[in-house]
Amino acid sequence: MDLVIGVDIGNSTTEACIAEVGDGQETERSGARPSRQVHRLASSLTATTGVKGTPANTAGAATAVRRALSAAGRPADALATVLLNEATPVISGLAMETITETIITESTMIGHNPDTPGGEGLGVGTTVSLEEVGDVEAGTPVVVVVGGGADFDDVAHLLNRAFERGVDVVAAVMHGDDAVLVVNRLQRRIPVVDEVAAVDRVPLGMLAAVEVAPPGRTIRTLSDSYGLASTFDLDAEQTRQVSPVARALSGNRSAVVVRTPAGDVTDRRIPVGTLTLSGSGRSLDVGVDGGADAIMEAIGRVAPLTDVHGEAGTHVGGMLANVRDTMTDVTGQPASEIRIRDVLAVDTLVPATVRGGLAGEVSKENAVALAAMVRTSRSRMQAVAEALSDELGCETIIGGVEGEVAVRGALTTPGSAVPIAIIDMGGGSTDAALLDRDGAVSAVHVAGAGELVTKLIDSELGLEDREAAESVKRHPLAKVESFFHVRHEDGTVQFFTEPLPPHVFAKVVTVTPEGLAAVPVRGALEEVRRVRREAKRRVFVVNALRALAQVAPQGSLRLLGSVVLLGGSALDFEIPGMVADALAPYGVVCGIGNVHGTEGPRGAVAAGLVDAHAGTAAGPASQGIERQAAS
Amino acid sequence: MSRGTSPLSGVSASGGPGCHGRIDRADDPALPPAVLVAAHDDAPPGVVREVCAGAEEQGVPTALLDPPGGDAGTADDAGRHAAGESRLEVGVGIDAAGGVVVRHALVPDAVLALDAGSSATDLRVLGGDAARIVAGLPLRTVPTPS
Repeated sequence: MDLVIGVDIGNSTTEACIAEVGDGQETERSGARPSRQVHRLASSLTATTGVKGTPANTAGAATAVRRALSAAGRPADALATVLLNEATPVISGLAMETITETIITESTMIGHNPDTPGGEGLGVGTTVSLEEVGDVEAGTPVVVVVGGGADFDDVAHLLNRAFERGVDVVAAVMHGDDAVLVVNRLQRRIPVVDEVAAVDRVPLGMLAAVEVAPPGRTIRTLSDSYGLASTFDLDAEQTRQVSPVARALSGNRSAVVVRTPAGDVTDRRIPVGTLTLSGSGRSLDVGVDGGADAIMEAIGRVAPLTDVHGEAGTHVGGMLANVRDTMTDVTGQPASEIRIRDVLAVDTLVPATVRGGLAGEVSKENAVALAAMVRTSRSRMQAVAEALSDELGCETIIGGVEGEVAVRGALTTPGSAVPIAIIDMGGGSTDAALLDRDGAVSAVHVAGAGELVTKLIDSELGLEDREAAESVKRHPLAKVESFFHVRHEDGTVQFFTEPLPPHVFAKVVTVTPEGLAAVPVRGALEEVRRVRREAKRRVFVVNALRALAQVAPQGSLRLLGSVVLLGGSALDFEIPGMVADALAPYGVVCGIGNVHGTEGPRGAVAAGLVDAHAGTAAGPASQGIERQAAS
Repeated sequence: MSRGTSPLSGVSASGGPGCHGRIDRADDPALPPAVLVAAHDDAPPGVVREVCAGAEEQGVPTALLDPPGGDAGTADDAGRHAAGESRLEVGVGIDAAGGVVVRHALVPDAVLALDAGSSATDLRVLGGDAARIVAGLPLRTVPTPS
C-alpha cells in the first residue's frame, strides 16, 4: 500500500486528497489497464499562495499536504508520492469606469431626501438668512435659510416673531436635524428641509421653492418639469433647461429648487477611453463609455480574441497593463509577448456623490466593470515540484492537464456519464471543459468569476468594504425586526431566546455561521438581494453559457449531455440553481459535482490525480471501495 | 394628575410639544403610548431636553416619569423602571449627573448608554434612538462594546 496525495493548485484555493493506493491487481472492472484499489482517507483545503503555476505555490501546497496528513492521522514520513496538476498561470484583473456624472451648478437644487423633514406642502419665496428675517418687510414671501449651530427653540421663536410681524415665511432650509422640532413649535405649518450640510452655500436673495410631501408620499411639483415651469413662471426653452432638475428629484419626499441665473443640473458622459480588440486578423476600437453590450458585441465580432489593449491613463488601460506586468513578473516572458485572451464587460450602477451638491446628494451613475484574463502555456510547475520534494522529502510527480483531470474527477459524481461538460467556477476565471464520446477533451477559460461578483456587490451597494461585500455574496440575508426575531429573505421568521445586539437592531444582516452581521446599507433587504442576485447572474450565468458555447459541439448547448458544476462557487447557496435554470431550456442535465459521491464540488482535480495515478477507470466509484469522509 | 396642557408651561417645557409632560402613572388609558423618560430631580435640564427632542424629531411621543427609589437610583435603575412602565416597552433613565441609559423592557441589559457630560448632539441622537427602537429603525448611536 502506497500513501499518495493529489494536490490541485487553483487560482484561489489549493486542495489536497490523500489516499492509500493498493499494490494488488484487483481490477474493479474489466478495463484494459490494470488498476489498483484506491482507499481515500481525507482531503484538505487551504488558500493558494502566490499566482497559480509559480514557485510561490510551494508554501500553500505544503500546508495542504500537512493538513491532509493530519486529518488522515498519518505521519509525514509515510507519504510515498505527491501528485501535482499541470497548472498554468491565469491572471485576472478587474477595473471599473464610471461613465456618467451628475453635476449641480450654482446650487440649483437640494435633493438629499433627509429621514425626517418637517411640515408639508410647497412654499415659494425669496431666500433670506435667519439673521436677516427680522429686517424683511411684511407681506414678502420668504424661504428662511438656517445655518449650523442654531437651536430649534430659537429658530422657532424668530420665525414666530416674523409671522407676528406679517412676514410671509413660506418655508425653511436648515443645517441641523431639527425640522420636525421647529415645525412643532411654529404657529403655522410650513415645509422645512433639514440636514443640509452646506447650507451656507445656498444663494440668498434668489427665488426658491421648498416642497415636502406627507409621510409615505413623494413630491409632485418640483419633480415635474411643468410643475417647475408653473412654480417659477418659465417659458418653453427655460422649461427644457430645468427638466434634468425634475428628473433628479423624482422619488424624493422633500426637495429644494433655487432659481439661479445660470444654475443647472447636468448628466454628463465622461470620456473614459477606448479598448482596442484584436482577433480574426483585424482590430477594432470600442469606446468603454459605450457600455458592456457594445464591448461584448465588439468582442463577438473579432472572435476568437487574440489580444486587448486599453488606452493609457484610463482605469481600464491601467488594469490591462497591470495584468500584463504581473504575468511578466510571474513567467519572465516580455510584456509584448503576453496576450489578453478574454474580457468580460458588465454594466453596473454605482452610487456617487453629486458634484456641486449641498447636502451630500448621491446619484446612481452608470459604470462599466471589466474583468480581463491572461493565460500562458509557460508553466513553472517543475520548480514547484522540486521545491515540494525537498520540503516533504518524497517523490513529486506532475501529472495530468487541468481540464482532463477535472473531468475525470467530475465523472466520479454518481449519475454522471460521458459526454460530460464541467464548469469550474472559481475566483478569477470560469473554466469549462468537455469530454466527448471519443475521449477527447477541450477546455476554455473565460474572464470573470467570484472576485468580479464581490466587486459588483461592493460598488453597487456603495459599501466600500470588501469583507462586507464578500459576506453579502456568500450568505443569505435577513432583516432584524425586533430584539428577539429576524425575518429571513424568504419570509420565514426565526425567534431567538437571547436578545440580539443593538448594533444589528432593525438592520439588514447576513446570516453567517458565526451569527448575524450587519450590512452597512440604508436600502431595503429586497434591494440588497436584487443586487446580489443580479451580480451573480451577470457573471456566472453569462460566463457559464459563454464558456460552454465555446466547448460545445458545433457551439450548440443542446448537444451537451450533462454539465457538472465544480469549484468553490458551486458551493454557493444560489449560483448552482441560477446556472441550472439558465441551462434548463437546452435540455441539459446540470447539477453540483459530488466527487466520489462524498466530496462535493471541491477536490475534483485532486481526486482525479490520485485516480489517474492508480490507473482506475473514470467513472463513479463502486460500492466495493470503502469511503471515508473528510473530517 | 398634573399634565402640561400648553407646550411651554411647567415641566413639559423641558420636553417640548412632543412630550406629554410629567405623568403620575404610566397605565393611564387616556395617555397615548410614549417612550418614558425617568429623570433624577437634579438631572441637568439640558440633558432631558435633548433626549426628548431626539425622540420628538423622530415623531415618537415621550412622557416624564418620577424615577423609582427617589434620589438614590442610578440611570440604569431609572431606565429599567421607565421601560417596564412604558406601553411602548422603551424607557430612558437619567441620573443626577446627566448619565443616560436607554432600556427595552424585554432586554436584560441596557440597549444604549451615555456617560455624564456627553455632547448635546450625542444626547439628541440617543433620544432619537430610543424612538427608533419603537419605530423599528436602525440605531445611530455607536454602541459601546460591553
